Amino acid sequence: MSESGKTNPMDEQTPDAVTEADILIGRIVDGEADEQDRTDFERLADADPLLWRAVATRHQDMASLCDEVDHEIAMATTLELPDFVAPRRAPRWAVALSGWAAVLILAVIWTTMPQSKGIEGLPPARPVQINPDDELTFEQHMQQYLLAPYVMGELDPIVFRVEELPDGRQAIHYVRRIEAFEFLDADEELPVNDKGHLTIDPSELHAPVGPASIAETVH
Amino acid sequence: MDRQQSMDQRLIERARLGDRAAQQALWRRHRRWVAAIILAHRPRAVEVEDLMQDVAVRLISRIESLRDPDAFRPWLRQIVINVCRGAARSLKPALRLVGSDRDADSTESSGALTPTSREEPVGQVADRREAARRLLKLALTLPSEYREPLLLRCLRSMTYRQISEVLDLPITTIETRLARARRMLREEFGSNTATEGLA
Repeated sequence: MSESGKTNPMDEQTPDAVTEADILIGRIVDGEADEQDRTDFERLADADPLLWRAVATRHQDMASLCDEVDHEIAMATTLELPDFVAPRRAPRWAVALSGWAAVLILAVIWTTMPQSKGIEGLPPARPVQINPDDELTFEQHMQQYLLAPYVMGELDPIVFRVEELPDGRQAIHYVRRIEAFEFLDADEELPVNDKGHLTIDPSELHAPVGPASIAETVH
Repeated sequence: MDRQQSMDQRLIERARLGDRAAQQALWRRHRRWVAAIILAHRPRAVEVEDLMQDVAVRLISRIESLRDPDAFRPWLRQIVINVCRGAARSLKPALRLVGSDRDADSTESSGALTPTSREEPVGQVADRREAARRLLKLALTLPSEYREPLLLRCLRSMTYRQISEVLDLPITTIETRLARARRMLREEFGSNTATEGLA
């Protein structure tokens, strides 16, 4: 029985059957009610004003419950997929490569720098013939990553630390920056703080519209 | 097909071919509801994050076998259910040995509503956070056909249609189950607080 105490013919068939009011309240609480639903609900509430209280109570219940669910799964929803491509022999410098703002911190030996010149600018986004069971090199990994439609390319790397090594060489620590994009609907607020940083996980943003064509347009 | 589905299809196709970025994107798009399903079905002694890891592993290792991209959500949900069941099976023998308070609360819900802890000081229910905790606790004791859509609905971005896709049920069934779940929750929460003299 609902908070209103109102019964419905359905209740006589099955003890836990829901009433029309239950369904309408659910739609209102969930933001799925249309104009007709609201009209129907108001008609029911005219006869039973306690239904307004039921709406408020269930709204409050859901808000509290949702807050708690958010809290319970907060950590879990930041979990990234494990990297199965190179599970054991991954080079130490390949610390992380994940998501739109993937930042890969590399420590490279100064003498090997000529080999890394290729990372400047936009690497060619062409398919790479790779067996999923093989270990990827960093560049292969990067090329695979760049195949994603939401990744535009790579910005110039930023050197943030130079370390003198005992053998006289230098280790250059730099950050590689991936440029990616997501789409927001016109009526959505830009989730950016005053420093220009996104305030939510970009994966929670809306998906690109018509992925291939839009991606190509943006390129 | 809406744009979300269209994007999903593209990602699924690429993920099946071993595209790591597509797999990662797919995971990110779906991990919230995966976590909610885990929360609905996990043994209480196992952390949601641990089971998420298992689901992630299976997603990568089995995505190749997914034949119908349209069935991705029910397919992934079944993986989640299987992982939770596996965790419950592996936990049962240990429970008898350990017997801690937490483990005692670790099996799948029997469907019966759990009474409020006797140790809980009367009066704390007024605290909003405590009330929220108790609501979740009660929600987790609802029969699975009710608690699952209820927790999915708690992910505010999930519409009835999306929930129906995950659970592979008609939207009308989702609405009915949500309505029953809310009513059961309210009645049980109300009766518990009344029992404590706080209603």
